[in-house]
Amino acid sequence: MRKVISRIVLSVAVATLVAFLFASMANAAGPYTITENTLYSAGGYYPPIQIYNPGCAGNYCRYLVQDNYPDTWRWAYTKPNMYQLWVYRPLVGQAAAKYWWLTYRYGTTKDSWFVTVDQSKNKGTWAYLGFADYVPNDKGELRLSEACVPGYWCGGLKVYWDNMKYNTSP
Amino acid sequence: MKKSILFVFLLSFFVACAPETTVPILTRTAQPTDLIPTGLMHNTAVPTRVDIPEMNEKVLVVSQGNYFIADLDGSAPVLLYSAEMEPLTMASLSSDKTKFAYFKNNFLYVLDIARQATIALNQDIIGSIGGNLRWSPDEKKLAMTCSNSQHPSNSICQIDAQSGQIEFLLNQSDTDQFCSVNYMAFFDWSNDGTTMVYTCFIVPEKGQKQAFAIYLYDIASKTSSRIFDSSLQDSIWYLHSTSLSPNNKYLLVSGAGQTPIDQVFLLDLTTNNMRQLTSGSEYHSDAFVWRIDGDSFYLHKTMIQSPYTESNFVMDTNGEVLFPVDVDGAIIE
Repeated sequence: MRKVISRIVLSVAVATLVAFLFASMANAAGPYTITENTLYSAGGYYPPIQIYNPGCAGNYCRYLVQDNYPDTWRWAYTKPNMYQLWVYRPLVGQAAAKYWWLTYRYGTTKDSWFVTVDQSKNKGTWAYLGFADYVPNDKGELRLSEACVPGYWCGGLKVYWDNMKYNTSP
Repeated sequence: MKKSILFVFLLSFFVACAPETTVPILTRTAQPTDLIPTGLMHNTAVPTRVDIPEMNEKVLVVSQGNYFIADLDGSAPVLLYSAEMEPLTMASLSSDKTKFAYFKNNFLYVLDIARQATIALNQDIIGSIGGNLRWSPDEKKLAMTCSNSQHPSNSICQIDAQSGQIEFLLNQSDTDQFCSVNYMAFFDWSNDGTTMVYTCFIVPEKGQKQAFAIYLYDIASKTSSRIFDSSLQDSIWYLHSTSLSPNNKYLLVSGAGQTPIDQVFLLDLTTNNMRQLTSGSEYHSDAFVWRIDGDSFYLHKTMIQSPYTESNFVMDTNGEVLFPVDVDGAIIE
């Protein structure tokens, strides 16, 4: 009797797990990666400087040295219905940086949030920036500037633009 | 072994039962009339007689990334920009409905709709932080937030629609203390061409209230007046858009409270009194554009949960829905 119950429980568990995996696959798409080679100015004049370094995703990053006259540069827009996003902390990371991510619907900004990521910590990993309150959306966007971040050391450190990734719903 | 199996089972069960809102599903929109009875407004009154006027107005509609001009009943649509191309940052339709301007990847373009000819206007725009693009009433100029090599911080720019010449109307450094150290974005240009609306804001961390202020800029005197300060109220935590009424009497404000669910507010510019016109937790409400009468505007609603049904209406300044509008997407100009 115990064996029978165990088998039933196991069968139900496997079936539930499989159903969950299929349901997840149907709802979410991605992750999609956008590299730092797609940067556009969002109020920035000096473009981030490209470097070759194996510690960067895809061996390349771009950087600007922190200052009080920040240049803001954005990655290419995401596909519609961006839901969650992450940014890669390259091994060469030095500074805390303020990422600004947004979603849009019908040309109007919806989500618009700052997230501080210390690029000098947990290097070589993805930092999670959050999830969108507004789905559906027409597109998402990630911005970064080399502005100093209050509460963190700011003395000639480099802020890096590297890969970002996101998923969509569905 | 048994414990492990039980653990996997419970884990699978709980995860499978997690609320769907974490990964919502999109479906195609329904007809707007489907939505009228369901908790639309603060008074939730359903119009018993739908008074639909002649549908000969032309409006700019966005639907799933496609921009098109159409009659108010959705007929005679003309595609202006396809979603198959790169997404637009901003777009605007001239008041005579003959020209469509858009900003994409830091380039400003103007499409002559009749000739289907597009020209690139850029001279030196290096970027924009966002906000809106708007035609002047005489269709000769465009206004937007922009920066260039001489003005690397964001400014409100006026751009000649023929030559592309940029005039920096308002630099951040010429604004008040709050604006000069934060972000600035252009929203709207009055129908008589005398006044512009812009906002200055601080980008919050998620869950924190946004600090922002709304200003009117008088072009003749080159002076700004602050008409709304977020710190003095708690209804709007996040500002999304504003639109000035044709008679310059009202400002439509779309924004969200703490939840955040978008609602529409009306700021009376003569009394500085703000009223909330929509409410409820089932729909996001946005209002992007006034009708020419100055007493009504287009209201767009989206269910906040799957199936994310969308609908359009005309609402008056008392928050009464006058009639539904049969357009897929949102009317933005």
